[in-house]
Amino acid sequence: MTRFFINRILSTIPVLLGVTIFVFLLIQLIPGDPAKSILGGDATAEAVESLREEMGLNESMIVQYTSWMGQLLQGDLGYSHTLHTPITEELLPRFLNSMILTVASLLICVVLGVVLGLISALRKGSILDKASMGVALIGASMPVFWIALMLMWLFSLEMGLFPVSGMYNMRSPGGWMDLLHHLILPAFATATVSLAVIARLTRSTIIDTLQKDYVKYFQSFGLSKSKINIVHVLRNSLPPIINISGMQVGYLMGGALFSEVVFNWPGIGQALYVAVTSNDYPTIQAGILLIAITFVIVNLIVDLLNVWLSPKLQDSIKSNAG
Amino acid sequence: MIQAVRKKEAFLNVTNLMTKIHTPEGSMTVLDHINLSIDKGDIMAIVGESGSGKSMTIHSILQMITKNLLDSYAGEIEVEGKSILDIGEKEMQQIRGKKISLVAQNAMTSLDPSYRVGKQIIEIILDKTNLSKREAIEKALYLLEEMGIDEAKRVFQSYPHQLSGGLRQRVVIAMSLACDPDLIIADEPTSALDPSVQLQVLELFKKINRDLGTAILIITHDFGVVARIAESVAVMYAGQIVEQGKTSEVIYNPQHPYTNSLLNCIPDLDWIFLDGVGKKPLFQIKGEPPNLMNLSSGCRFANRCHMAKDICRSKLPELKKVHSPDLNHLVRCLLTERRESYAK
Amino acid sequence: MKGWKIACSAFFTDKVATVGAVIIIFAFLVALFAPILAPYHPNEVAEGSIRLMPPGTDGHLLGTDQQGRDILSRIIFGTQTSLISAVVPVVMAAVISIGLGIIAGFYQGVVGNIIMRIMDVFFAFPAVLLAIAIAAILGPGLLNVIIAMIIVRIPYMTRVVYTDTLQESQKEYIEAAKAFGVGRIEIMFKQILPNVLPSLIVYSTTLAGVTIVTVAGLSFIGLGVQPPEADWGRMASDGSDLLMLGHPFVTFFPGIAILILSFAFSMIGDGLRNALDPYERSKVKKEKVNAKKAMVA
Repeated sequence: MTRFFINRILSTIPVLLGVTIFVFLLIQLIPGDPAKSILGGDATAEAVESLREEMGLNESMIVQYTSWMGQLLQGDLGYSHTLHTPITEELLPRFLNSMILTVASLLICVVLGVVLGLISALRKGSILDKASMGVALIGASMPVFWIALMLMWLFSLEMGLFPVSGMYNMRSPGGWMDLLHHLILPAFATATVSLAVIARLTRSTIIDTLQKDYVKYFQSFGLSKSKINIVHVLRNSLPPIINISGMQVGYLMGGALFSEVVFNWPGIGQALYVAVTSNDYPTIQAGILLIAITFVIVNLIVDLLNVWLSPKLQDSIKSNAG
Repeated sequence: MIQAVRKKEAFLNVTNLMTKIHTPEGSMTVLDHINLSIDKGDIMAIVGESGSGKSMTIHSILQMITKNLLDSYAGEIEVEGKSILDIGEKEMQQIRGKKISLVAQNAMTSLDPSYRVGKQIIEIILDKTNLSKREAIEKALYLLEEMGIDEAKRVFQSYPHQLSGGLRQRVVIAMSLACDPDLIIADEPTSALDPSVQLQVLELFKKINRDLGTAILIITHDFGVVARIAESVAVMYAGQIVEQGKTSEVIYNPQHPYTNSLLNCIPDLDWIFLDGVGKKPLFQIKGEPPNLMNLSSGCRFANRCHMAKDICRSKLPELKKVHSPDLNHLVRCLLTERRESYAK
Repeated sequence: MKGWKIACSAFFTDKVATVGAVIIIFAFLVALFAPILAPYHPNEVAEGSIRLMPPGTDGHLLGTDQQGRDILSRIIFGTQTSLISAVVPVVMAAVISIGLGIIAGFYQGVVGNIIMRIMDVFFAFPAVLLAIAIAAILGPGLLNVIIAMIIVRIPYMTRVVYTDTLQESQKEYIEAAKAFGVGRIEIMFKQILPNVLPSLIVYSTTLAGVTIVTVAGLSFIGLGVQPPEADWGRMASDGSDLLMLGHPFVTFFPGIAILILSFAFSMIGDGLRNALDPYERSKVKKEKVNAKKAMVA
């Protein structure tokens, strides 16, 4: 078993390596001279040349990549020539803020999605089922930024229930209650699409599981339905639900970018937005690299979780290893 | 209608049971005037092809037909003299598992793959009885040992996929005995197993019956199984009982052409007693069972019966006593009726 | 061609799918006849119009935007870019993915492995972020957004083609064809492609809906169609500052347009999945019959 875990963890290395190569090559895609793009049209030739020198653009690609990689391994994500700060310093606190938002929206979409899917499956064909699945379909077709704008308009501007922007109250920053108050709208905006996806999948998985022989068999012993639903149906529906939830983490991190921009959440997405509008390529590079690494790790955890949850899978791994 | 003569200590009594279900084409009568009586300690079998209403009978007895499939029940089902057809779901749950329990048809898929076998057995014990967790574990281990499982502890700790088909079947039987039911119903308990394991499982049922006094109702399509284990048998065809009586009577003195055909379907009856290899050529019943939505007024077997006369196609025979040492030998066949009346 | 007939009738008995198809056909017609249908020029302020007229104002059904342009006219013209940015990337990506997926599935081993490992790298990026990164590097403009969307969609579609090809090439008739000395190229395109196509078409339709939403997101970031060209995502995001001033409709209507079009594509996708998959269909039917039989037996 341990060997499997180690192998699975090691298998992420080529992917991570590929990710760094791709992110590195992105800069090469810039039409024209990256240094010129960063500095803008009216920069002097000397300034461009010195930036080229500084960024190592005059070296061969392999040299550039290895030195960039070397810096990465030391935790140095590069230097932003637009913000005039080391990127690691700029992005790390933002990364944590983004994680707060992503985890909060993950909780929302998993908890609500599973509850909604479960109820729909158990009351299959009812008005409640049709209504929630209809809403789920629509929810999956909305741009996150638009959901965020509409939530902000309705709940902040019209009703005044939640703050319009930021993480804490500017005048009197409170504790975690203040954070929660600021968190709710962006988290819901981020979660909507994934919530719809999880709800639909949960519904179909539960309906499948309800048809299983063992569920019917336990019913034949006169065990209460609610008990069977929790102990057997939900338990056996978990692996696909966990799988899709893991995949949703990627969508959530993407969606968080938009809610961060709309709600002025000081996260990595907001920094990316600023970087995109100001041609700050090294920050774009660093930002998507950080997110990709996180996503790879999340996928790894999901895989290991699924193995842990399935005794059958564990045995097949054991027999393959032995 | 004729009622089976009751013995003492009757446990389950099914009287004139009619079950209707919904189909896209309308309401369909899948069980037509079923009469069964099982006493404590009895071993009974119901035989028939798939679609004959065997499984519908069990599902009716346990009231497990899905709500949106069920149209209506009529007649009477009594457990220990008390009618169960109109009791609530709560009371029915007290009967399922505790009074009557099911041995799953397919042991492969009837155990939850995510839990250890032992946990699944004690889940039922803890839910249905007042035993403590420790007592429940002891009981589960005892039951597994009773099932002739050598390494009961290992099996207890195993996941279903780690066990062989035979072991799984034993686990399922142990599970059905978890709350000391008076009757266990086994739906095709051996059809998924190797022949050698089949015999062991049937022996196990006999042992359970002998040691624990549990009544057993076996549902099968195989007269070989019936001959090995059951004291009495009911032959079902197209939702009706066409012949019932003591096993020896029905096997050696079959009165209904359908029973005859089924008996011809087993390679050789001697196989059952001598464990030999069949010599007779396999016999197949030609044709298909009738569509229950679209029945003629005649005998339901008439279109497949090689002895059918004109009258068979126009008049539905009733289940009647035949002249036989077994007072409860009943047959639903006009030809037998006629022959009997000539004999008199 | 009987199969197509069955699929068509199955599709159109599906009410939801039919509604989706009607919406898409309507959208194409609107895009085609935008100059005739639109009451005003999309980029110019009509005479007598003032800024931010509320919806329902005489002559401006959906009101006017911050510059006084008619919102309805801009939505009508925006249909063009939305349809282009939904259909073009998906079709292009599908064509490339068919090549990559079939080759990877058919030539397993080194070639297949290299292709699929490269795809794995792309799966490490959330799709939206990858699109943003590529589009940002290439610079603003509809063409660059389309290129970015093609790159982003390829891995997903290639994986679909790849798994289908794997399944298909293990079937006996392919083995037989190989044994008879049928050329590999011929097998790939004459035997495997037709069997892989249905599920790819279903997937593409669903992806087209998702792509509309993603492209709208890119417009929000400032990539994609540049002003003053009418584009739904851009319109919705331009209106965001006006929310604070109490003019939600400038954002609201373009968003609804995105929602309807994207929703219509996913409805068609669902309908196609059920209609184009006779096996799945018969399986569902069979299961229902079996379930009933089991209950009756």
